[in-house]
Amino acid sequence: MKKIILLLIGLIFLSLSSSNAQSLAGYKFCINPGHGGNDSNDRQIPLGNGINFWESEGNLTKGLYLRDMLEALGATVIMTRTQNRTEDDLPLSQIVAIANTNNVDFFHSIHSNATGTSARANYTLILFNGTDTAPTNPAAKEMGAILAQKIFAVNRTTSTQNRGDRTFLGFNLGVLNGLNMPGTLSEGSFHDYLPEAWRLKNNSYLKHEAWAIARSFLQYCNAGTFINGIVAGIVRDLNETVPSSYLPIGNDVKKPLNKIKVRLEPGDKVYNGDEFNNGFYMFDEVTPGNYQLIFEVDKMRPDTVSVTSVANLSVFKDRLLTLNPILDPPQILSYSPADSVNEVSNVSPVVIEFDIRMNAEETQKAFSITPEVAGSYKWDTDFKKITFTPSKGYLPGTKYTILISTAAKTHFGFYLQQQKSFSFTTRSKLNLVFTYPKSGESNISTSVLMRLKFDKGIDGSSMANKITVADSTGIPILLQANISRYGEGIIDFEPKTQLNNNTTYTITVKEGISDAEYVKFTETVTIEYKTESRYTFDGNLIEGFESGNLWQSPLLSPNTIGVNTSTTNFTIATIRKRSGNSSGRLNYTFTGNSGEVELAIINPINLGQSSSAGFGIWVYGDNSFNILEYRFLRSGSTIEKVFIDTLNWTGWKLKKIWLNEIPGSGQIEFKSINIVQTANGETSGTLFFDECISNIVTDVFADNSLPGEFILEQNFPNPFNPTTTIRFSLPDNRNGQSNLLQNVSLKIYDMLGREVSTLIDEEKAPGNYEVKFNAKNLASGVYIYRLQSGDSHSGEVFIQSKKLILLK
Amino acid sequence: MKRVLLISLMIFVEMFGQRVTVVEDAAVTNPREGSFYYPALSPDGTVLIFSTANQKGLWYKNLPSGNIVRITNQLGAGIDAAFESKNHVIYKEDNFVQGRRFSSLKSFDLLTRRSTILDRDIRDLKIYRSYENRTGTYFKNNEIREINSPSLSKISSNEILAYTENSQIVIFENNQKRMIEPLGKGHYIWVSLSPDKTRLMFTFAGKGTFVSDLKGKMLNKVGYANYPSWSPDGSWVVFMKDIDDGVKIISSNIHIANLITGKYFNLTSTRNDISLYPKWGKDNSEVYYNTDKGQIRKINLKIE
Repeated sequence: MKKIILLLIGLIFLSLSSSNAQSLAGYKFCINPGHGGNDSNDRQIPLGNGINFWESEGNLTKGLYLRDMLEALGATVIMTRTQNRTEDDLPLSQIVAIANTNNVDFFHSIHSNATGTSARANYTLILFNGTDTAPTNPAAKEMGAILAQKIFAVNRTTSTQNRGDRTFLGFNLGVLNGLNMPGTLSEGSFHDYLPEAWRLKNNSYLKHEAWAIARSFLQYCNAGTFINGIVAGIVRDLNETVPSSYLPIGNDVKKPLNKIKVRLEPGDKVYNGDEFNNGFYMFDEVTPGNYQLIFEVDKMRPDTVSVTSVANLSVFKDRLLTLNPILDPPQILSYSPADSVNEVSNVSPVVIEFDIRMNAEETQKAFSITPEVAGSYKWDTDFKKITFTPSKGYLPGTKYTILISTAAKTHFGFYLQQQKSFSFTTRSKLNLVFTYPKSGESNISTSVLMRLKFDKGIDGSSMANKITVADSTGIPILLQANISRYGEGIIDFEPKTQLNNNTTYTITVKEGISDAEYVKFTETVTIEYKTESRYTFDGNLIEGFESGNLWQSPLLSPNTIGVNTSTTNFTIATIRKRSGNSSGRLNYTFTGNSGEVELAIINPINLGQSSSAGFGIWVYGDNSFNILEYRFLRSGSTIEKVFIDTLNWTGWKLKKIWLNEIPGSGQIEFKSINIVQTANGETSGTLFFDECISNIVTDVFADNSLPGEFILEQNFPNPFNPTTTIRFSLPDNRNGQSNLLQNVSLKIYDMLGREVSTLIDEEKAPGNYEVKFNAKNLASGVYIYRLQSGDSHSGEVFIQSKKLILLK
Repeated sequence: MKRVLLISLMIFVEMFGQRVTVVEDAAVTNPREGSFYYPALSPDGTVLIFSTANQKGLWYKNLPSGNIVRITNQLGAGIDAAFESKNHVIYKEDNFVQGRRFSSLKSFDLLTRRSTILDRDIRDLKIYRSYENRTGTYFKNNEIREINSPSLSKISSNEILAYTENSQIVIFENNQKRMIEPLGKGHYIWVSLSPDKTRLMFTFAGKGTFVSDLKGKMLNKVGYANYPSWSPDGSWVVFMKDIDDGVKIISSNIHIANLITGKYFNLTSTRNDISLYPKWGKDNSEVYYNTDKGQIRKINLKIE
């Protein structure tokens, strides 16, 4: 009993002395700045122009200030973190263990809050372990009540609550559950309320909350009060407002001023504000007494106000400043669209920027546009920039004139001295800028992915029945379209079933397609193309792309360079296949201008020695104009790179090479498919592969039927280096006679008409032919190939020439 | 029968010739009896003590009889409560006065069910608990004292202890304190001595759990392993792998790791609840733990 009395006397003495001594000596606290690092779970709020608020950073700053304050009062402070790295984002169980292991007297976790929805709020919330009415440790609820009042007082949120986590959240917070001492968690304010997020970017604002928590510790421990006070406030513009998207509450509707300068006199203390759109200032540790605050902000009228500092309290002096009167007439700093410009977007807003805050109402009246267009006006928050936006676009191909009359006047009543007018002409029509296939193109895959590209994004609702594809008899083909790139003006579509070989098809693009700016395609265009002949050959299927296990990830290949590693990958895909259940899908993105992707087969395939047999892969092209290469191992060591084709097609095509075309000697093993970036190639693409075939023993390009006319096809690839293929057809049934031999010559000429190579000069029977041309001894340039066929019986001659381009 | 069927879905794994089998994972307490955390078995394996999530209160279960008895409902009683002898549980009680923690050291007699105050009004009281939940030592304001001495005097034996002060590891050896920080400045938590007192296990907050010798030389990196504890033979460690979303723990399993082979095994992979705070039982074949709902459970292991 005697001991208890002595203890009570001691505690009473301690209580009395501490209130005078303003000391926390002998106390041990654990402070947990919530979260840690700049990871996806660390509560990032993008504020524009690359500026972000991270809750993990705000919490840490508050925590470090609080540590310094508590240590200055004599307390021992255990910080769960003092940095903001990912590794500082400790598991909740470890945070609890740090507090428990150190046997601290109190634990406090510092946070800011978020609704996580589009709704906005900004209240203060303190949580303790347990329910509202049954806290696990009553001391936590006691401290929570103090924190709720003190933090609310400095952050000036809309309201404050002190709640049991089980009641408020429906579960126990991990950072409080397991503590063996009283603990609280403060959500000082809401960081997804943007005016508050900007304030939380201000270190003084964060320090102010730390002062509130330190005051709470003093009161909770009955350990006295701070002998000095704080003078703080927010400086805003009387006339400007924040964006309405902020959903501002109360005074936050007024726009805070940046780079404020506030002086506290006497004492000559100066506070220089930041540029984070909060207008906040604070003087801490101000001796109680009467002061003057002098506010100076560039271009604003200075302001002075009296303030009385009170010990252990924050006294606020918010100010609304007005612009210094500007006695000059306004100038127009810029306007758009520029004067006399043609082909202006049909929804382009008209923007006019003045150098002085304008009288919005009068200036709008001074604005006119001819011909008249319905639209709306919007001013920026400082009333210097007016934007007129037509509600349904302008008329196509029309000249509009904007006039700002001298009735436009500034906020201070000064008129524009000279009227300003400028004009622009809108776009007249939607243009088709690219098609695949091109009109007249042949050798097109029967599974072709057709593309139309317009010069503006397409309005999908205008597309109905505007695009058709029909065969030469006029029978329409069923199509399926990809609508995902309409916004880029790109329409990709393909036949639902494979097209016929060696058949002419016509794409018809009808007038009336509209873009997003209400401008229409004004003509009807047809694009005629011919599919390739049927492939007939014998060969052995050696890999069907039914399993990804046989192929190495392109990112693991040392020959894959200059690619975006997150968008370059290889997978087995079922969305396109030539046979079986799947194909191999290679997505790639080049990051520079000399990239390469290698898709290597884990165990190279032995193809034997050089021979007339062939090796090929069905490749669904992406029209990227990058280069397709195959790579082979010769004798198990030498790697031979073989150009196969320029990726200038879509749909499935068999891309093969004869083994005797592969350089070097010795055993041949197929090693990899490589995509090599070209200067004019796309920086990204998607290719599909199916059916690796070896022992191709007959010419793969064979048509069972004999042709009915002379055909000289465009060589492929073109441009080429150094080999290319030329196909031609000699007709049967000439002059009523069948299977006659014809004199045929196929020669290459330079642009000066000099013959540089003869590929064929002999008699040939009717049929389809394919000739390889190797230009390794020629210089880069444009050459002509000419096919001449003479009928020795009738004397009838067929001559046709085409250009080919050698690029070394 | 259903239980038998469930048990037959045993988990096992081969590890360098070792085969680990979860023979049974059975409830020790049920919700009607209360919500309990932090199980710790007496050295003789007959009594299990446990507390609540916030280490408020202390209970024990006499395993042969199945009876659960409350020792106290006071704050802090679950913190490192341990057995001083077969029938005596040492625990503390916390009282918070004007923000300060004052603690009393108490002994509970399991036979008479009466508590005795051993020391009181201590500002910084910690009970030293060994791997087998035995104690004979406590810390009074960082001063080491013996519990079994009538005068509770300063310790003066050749005892070897490992514990923390201000997040640093303290090795008490040859009657002297030595501070070590094997991985530099930071928070060292869950520090414990191996059964043979030659090794040290600790968690370095944010970096993982490690085993070192008593000078701090690293012997094993266990990895992400919270609340680790030694197996009775010192060759295994049991721990929890808890995952949180920054607000609450969203998943956790009990794992064991062999410190010789370096192999790991998840003992609760087939359970849907959150498994926390494991401790070995009287030998390598038993692990006690609690669920997030506060049910104490016992895993019977077969290690071949």
